[in-house]
Amino acid sequence: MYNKKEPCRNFQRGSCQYGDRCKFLHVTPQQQPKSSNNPFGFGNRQTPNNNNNNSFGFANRQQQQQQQQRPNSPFGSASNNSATNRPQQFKPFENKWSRGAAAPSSRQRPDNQPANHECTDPDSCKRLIAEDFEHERPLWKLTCYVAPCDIIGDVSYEELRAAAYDDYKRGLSLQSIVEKERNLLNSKLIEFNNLLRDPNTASLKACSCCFGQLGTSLNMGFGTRSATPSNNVFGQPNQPLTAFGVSLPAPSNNVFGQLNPPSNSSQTVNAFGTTNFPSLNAGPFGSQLPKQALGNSFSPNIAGFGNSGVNSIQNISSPPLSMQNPSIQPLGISNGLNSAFNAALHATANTQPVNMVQRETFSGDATIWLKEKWVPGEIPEEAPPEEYVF
Amino acid sequence: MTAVIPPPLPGRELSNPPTDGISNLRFSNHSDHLLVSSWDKTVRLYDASANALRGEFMHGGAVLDCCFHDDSSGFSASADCIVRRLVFNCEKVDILGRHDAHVRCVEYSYAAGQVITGSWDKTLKCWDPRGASGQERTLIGTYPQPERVYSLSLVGNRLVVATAGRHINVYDLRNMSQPEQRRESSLKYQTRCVRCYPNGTGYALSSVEGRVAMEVFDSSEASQAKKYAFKCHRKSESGRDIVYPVNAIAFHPVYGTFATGGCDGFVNVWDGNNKKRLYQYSKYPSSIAALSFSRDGSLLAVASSYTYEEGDKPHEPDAIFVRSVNEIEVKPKPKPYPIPPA
Repeated sequence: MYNKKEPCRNFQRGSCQYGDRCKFLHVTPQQQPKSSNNPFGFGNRQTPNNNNNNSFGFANRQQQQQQQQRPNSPFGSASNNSATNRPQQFKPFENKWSRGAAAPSSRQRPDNQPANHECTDPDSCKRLIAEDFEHERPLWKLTCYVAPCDIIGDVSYEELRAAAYDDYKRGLSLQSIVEKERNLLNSKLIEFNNLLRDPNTASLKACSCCFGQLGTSLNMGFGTRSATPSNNVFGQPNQPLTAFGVSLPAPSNNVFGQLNPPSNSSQTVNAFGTTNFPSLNAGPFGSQLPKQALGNSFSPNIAGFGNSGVNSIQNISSPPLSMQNPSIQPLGISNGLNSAFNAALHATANTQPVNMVQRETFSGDATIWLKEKWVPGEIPEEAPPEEYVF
Repeated sequence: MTAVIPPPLPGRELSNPPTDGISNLRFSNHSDHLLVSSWDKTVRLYDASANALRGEFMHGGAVLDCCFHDDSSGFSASADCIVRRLVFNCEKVDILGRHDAHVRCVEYSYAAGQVITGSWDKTLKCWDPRGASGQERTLIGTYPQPERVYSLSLVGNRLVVATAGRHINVYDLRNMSQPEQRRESSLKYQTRCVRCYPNGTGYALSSVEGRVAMEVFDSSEASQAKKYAFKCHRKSESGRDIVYPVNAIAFHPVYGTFATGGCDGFVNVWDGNNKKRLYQYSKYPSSIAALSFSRDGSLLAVASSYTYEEGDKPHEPDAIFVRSVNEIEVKPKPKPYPIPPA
């Protein structure tokens, strides 16, 4: 017969598969005077008022940095348990968080900075942002972001989708719609990259203008789009680059200068470029000519590309790449995309006939990185992504 | 100690689902009727228990939100900037009013007897549905918002509006001239969905980065200390997290527990007070676009509809699943009382 008063050994170690059903007592070390049983102690040892008892806990953002350990684990506790880097498994009835949350992105970082933290300490800001980007990059890229120093400019997926539907209705070609979205995504990524490099730069605000414009253009009734090319991020094909243009307060090379060294950005773009192939593959695109499908396909195409690019890069990536590039996140998309991307990367992308069209557009994007002046619509010759890796 | 739990089924799939993405679905407060709005420009009314389509309403543009008024009529928010009233029995559609841009959210407040709509034109408008036609007669007020409205939720006399740029406005419906509270989301990324607790003490907020924040209305320090946020809808792969947006939150009307649906295709049920996850339903074929509990909490409708957060990719057809909810999945479990060692 088991003694109900006995603490559960598994729980002390960081995980008990029975969760709430467990016959033994699930107590955290601080409730016990003798903590000799738990090597991990759920990371509570340091701060007594750390309410790591709750499997949720954590990220009480307004709190001070007492709870430094928690942030990663989905539910507080056990950042110390990060040693047990188990992949999260979702079993019914199992209180996952008692397992020390497997916190794959386990790291000890203060997640609980108040949202409007002034950037008084650039280094920690930077670190914070870097960690955020590295570990918790969301799937949906077109979002605002704040952790000290903001990136503004939200676009929801419905907005993008609605814009794309309208574009298509108006007769814009698939290609240009996709291109717009891609540019939107790229410029957003640049923004994020910039933020990472220098959290204090004012250029961030400039970048975000484009998104404001997007929002505006959406709201202004799509009919007026052609009428206001200068304001319109989307505008004509030439316009998308405005996004880039707008975003560079300094001479254009500057951004590139900033971005090039890590070569990540280039890669990023390239990643998108090449990644687009798989996703832009005749399959989904070509076959989905029906209007609604098209509209759908456009919406966060870019997001998809970005993600897949990211993911793929992750797979192939050389050390310098993964090291610094926060934008390259394994926000995995389908594996198909990855493999396709890989193929694209290794082969000389040109050999992919189906994707030629999109490829060129992307190469166009990639070349942009080297140019001071953008000539949109210019379709360079082959530009394998590696070329742009410095 | 544990009863044998039958293997979780995805639920019964409704026949005649919409042909394009589903933007929202709602159960009626009076019956098991389900109203579904979709990007295919229709609003459909289903009888969930009978699995039958009872009505279909065409619109001029994609329909981004819908809600019930009572069992015989409802409202819809459409991308053609028009707010419509739908009368179910006679399949009639009235125009209630217009916004300057897509209407993103619509809610009906029983307490105030008003229809509230939020739009990407950065305004909130209140309408009196009794005026059948003519915008002048129905519009009660227009309230500017800091940014485009992404989500709305009502409880009692309180209205919570979530906009782009992570702004949150809390209004008292009795005095809409200015927000009762102006806040910033405590999450770092774009807000996806906001839902008030059924007991009216606070609201839950979800973002695109796999996090949900539980907030309280009371601005006193003591109450604010109780708020928290948690991560969810993430998948770990090779040491990193794939972070999915959380698209939908639905509160169980009886127990106060809530379900969240994300782009990972999972629906999780959480106990907010005890801060635990109660259940996870088996993976749905596509992203979860919307969730709704029936009025007694016995059914959960899940819209499994690709929300294009990843661009165009071959995806499962959009479908609506209605599943019976077991008490065990949604009932909060009592906390084990820690017994001090003797």
